[in-house]
Parts: sequence; C-alpha cells; structure tokens
Amino acid sequence: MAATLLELSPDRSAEGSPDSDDLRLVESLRFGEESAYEELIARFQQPVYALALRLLDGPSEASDVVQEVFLKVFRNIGSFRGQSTLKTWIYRITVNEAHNARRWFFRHRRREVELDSDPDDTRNWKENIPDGSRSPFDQAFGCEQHLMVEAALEKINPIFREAVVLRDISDLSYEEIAEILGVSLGTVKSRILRGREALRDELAGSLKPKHALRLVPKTAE
Amino acid sequence: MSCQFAQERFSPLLDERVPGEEREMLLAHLESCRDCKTQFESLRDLRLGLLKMNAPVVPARVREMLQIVASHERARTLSRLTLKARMERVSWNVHLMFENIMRPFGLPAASGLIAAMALFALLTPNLSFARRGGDDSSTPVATYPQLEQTGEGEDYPEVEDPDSFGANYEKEIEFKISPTGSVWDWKVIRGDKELTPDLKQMILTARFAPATVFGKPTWGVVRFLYKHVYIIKG
Repeated sequence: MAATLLELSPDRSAEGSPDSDDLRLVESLRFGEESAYEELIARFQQPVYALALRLLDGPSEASDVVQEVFLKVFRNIGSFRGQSTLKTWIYRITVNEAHNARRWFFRHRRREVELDSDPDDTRNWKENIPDGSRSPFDQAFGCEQHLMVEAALEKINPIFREAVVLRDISDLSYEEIAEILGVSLGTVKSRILRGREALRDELAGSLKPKHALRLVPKTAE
Repeated sequence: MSCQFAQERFSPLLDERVPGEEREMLLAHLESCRDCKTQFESLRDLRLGLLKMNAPVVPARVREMLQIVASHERARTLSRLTLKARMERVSWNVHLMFENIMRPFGLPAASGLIAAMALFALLTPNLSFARRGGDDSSTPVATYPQLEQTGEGEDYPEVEDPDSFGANYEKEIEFKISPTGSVWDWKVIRGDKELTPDLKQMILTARFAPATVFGKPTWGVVRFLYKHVYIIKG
C-alpha cells in the first residue's frame, strides 16, 4: 500500500559541486571557444525558457528573460567559482531575472497592449507544447489538464509558484532549490507545501460546477 | 496522530523527506483515515501531473536571438584575452590532445605491466639456484686456499752466531695451489731466491684446502711470510 501511495519518480540527490563537464565548459567559455557557446545554449536554452515561462505570464516576457539570462551567463562566467553546479547557478540567475521582469512589468507594462506580435504569438503559448505520442483523445484530455494546471499555476503566489515549479516541474532537489532561491531548507519545505496546497485548492475551485441560469417558476398573482 | 498534523506532512512525504518511523506512522494513518487518504492522493496526483507536464518548445526567434548574443559575447571575450591567456589555452589544448591520444594506450600498458609483475612473482622461486641436498648452511661464493698441514722440516736449529743468518732470515713466498690441495708451484716475492733443502722439503709436503668458487675446488694463490726460528747455543 505504501508503495502504491508513493509511486513517484525517485528523488535525485543534490549535486553539490560541478562535474568535470561543467568545469570544462566553463573553462572553454572563458577562452571564447565557439563550440562552448553552442554547447551552453543547446544544454540550457530549453530548461531556462521553460522555467522563465512558468514563472512569468507570457512568452514574450519569458523570451526577454532568457536573453538577459544568457547575456549575464556569458558576461559573468569568469566569476563562476564552481561552488555550485552550473545548472543551479544558471537557474538562480533565471529566477532573479524573472523577479526583476515581474517587478518591471507591474510598474510599467500593466496597461500596455502588445501591437507588434507575429501571428504565431497570437495563439495561446500553451498550444506550443508538443506531445505526439498519444491518441487524439488522450492528447486532448491531457492538454486540457495541462491548461488547467498552467492556469492554476499563474494564479498562485509567485513565491510559492517558484518553489513548486522548481520542485515538481524542473524536478530539482530541496538542496538545489534552497541554493537557487537563497533560502534555508526549512523555508523551501514550507513554500513547496503551501504552494502545492494553493495549487490544489485553485484546481479544485476551477473544477467546481458553475452556477447555471435557472428559470424559477412563479405563480401569477 | 491528528489529521491536521498528518496533512502538514503530506508534502514532505511525497518528496521522501520524512524520517522512517514518522513515515510509517503517516502511512498507517492514511490507511485508517479516508479523508486524509483522499487528500494525500489528490496531492500525489497533482505532483504526478506536474512531473508529466511537457516542456515548452523554445521559439525559433529566441533561438536565433541567443545565437546572436553568443556571437557578440564571444567576440567581446576574444578581444579581451591577453597573450598569456591565449598561450595558456594553446598549452591546455595540447595537453588535452596528448591525454586523449594516450588514454587508449593507458589501460593496455597498465594491464601488461601488472601481468608481467604477476608472472615474475610466480616464476621467481623457479629461477633460484639449486642447492645441495640436505645442506642448509649457506655456501660462500669463493674461498681462499687454507693451510691444513705443514710440511716436515728441521725444528729450531741451534746456531752459535745469529749474524750468520744475515739478511736472509725472512722470505715472502707465493704458492700456487692445485684443486687437489697440493703446492703446484712457488715463487719467492721478497728475500733470498735460494731456498734451503729443508724449506723445499717443507713446501713440498705441505697440504692445503683448495680454493673454491660456488663450492667447487679450483686453482688458488696464497702468500706466506717465512721466518727462521733458531736457538743460540750457549
């Protein structure tokens, strides 16, 4: 019973120090090797974009954040001392940039309307998620579920959202999350707990039946 | 265990961050409390759903933008590299290339060395020299001839005038000893070359233990200082 209750992917242990691949990549970046730049982009563009997209409200903000993140990584690679893994270092930059973008958005762009978006971007960004391995029914059902979860994620407190996204979507360990967010393990634990509960409540709320219009028969006086 | 206490630990339980004993208690509680079990299963399903969420595709526009950023930043980095750094990079690349070339040979070479050492260790007892049966005493590599028995001669001659012996009273003689232990030849190194019949008799009847090499008798050379001993008549 316990095994069936806890059927989840195994928790990956935190990697406290960078591996030799990371160190080699960092060393090559410092010397401006073209292949190192390509490798870094190939390894991190997708996870960084996915993280930014889920911490922010739309693809255009996420794209800007991704550009800022890589710019900072390229410019500050000399200051990477190998005290953490390259992944947690880059994720930390992403989370910080997402914070900044969110603050900037609330100050400046809340009332702006996007005019120069291309036709691809006019579609909901969630439609870009591919999954061709299942039947059309499963695909539609799964897509519906994902849309609901994504919508619920957007509604919960960003502080809790960060913790849930890093743990449950990016599949990072508590130690890695603590390092990325710059908080203690206890705080990580608490944020994940509250984030999951908020997400569950949000999803439960969205599944409640809406009140339909009803005709109330009245007797004529 | 109260339901509230249990529900606060559902999240750590999902992440396997609850210690063993407490985990058992929680699972037991889940077995007994239907509401808590439902709540836990909803959290577990939520986590499973989140884990299965597909990764969004990076838009082509973002990929292109990143290529441009990388190109600019690379040019910027290269323009700031000092000559020393470039030389270090070249030496690093050479070192890396050498390592990559040598690595395929490393394992076979190490295996060969270990195999050779093992073979040597196995064969060493068979390579030692054969010893004479039953003789546990160590055999010297080589020995000199040893005098075993002096020859017969005149005992202590009586003289009236000690000066009559003159300067000839002392001789140094080199003997060549045969493998059988007899004197094969002799040569006077110091003193009068003429030997008295008495001395000749002594030399010819002397017996030696022959010289040996690895225990086998062989030719040897030995030198003796021969002095007259006399009694003054009186």
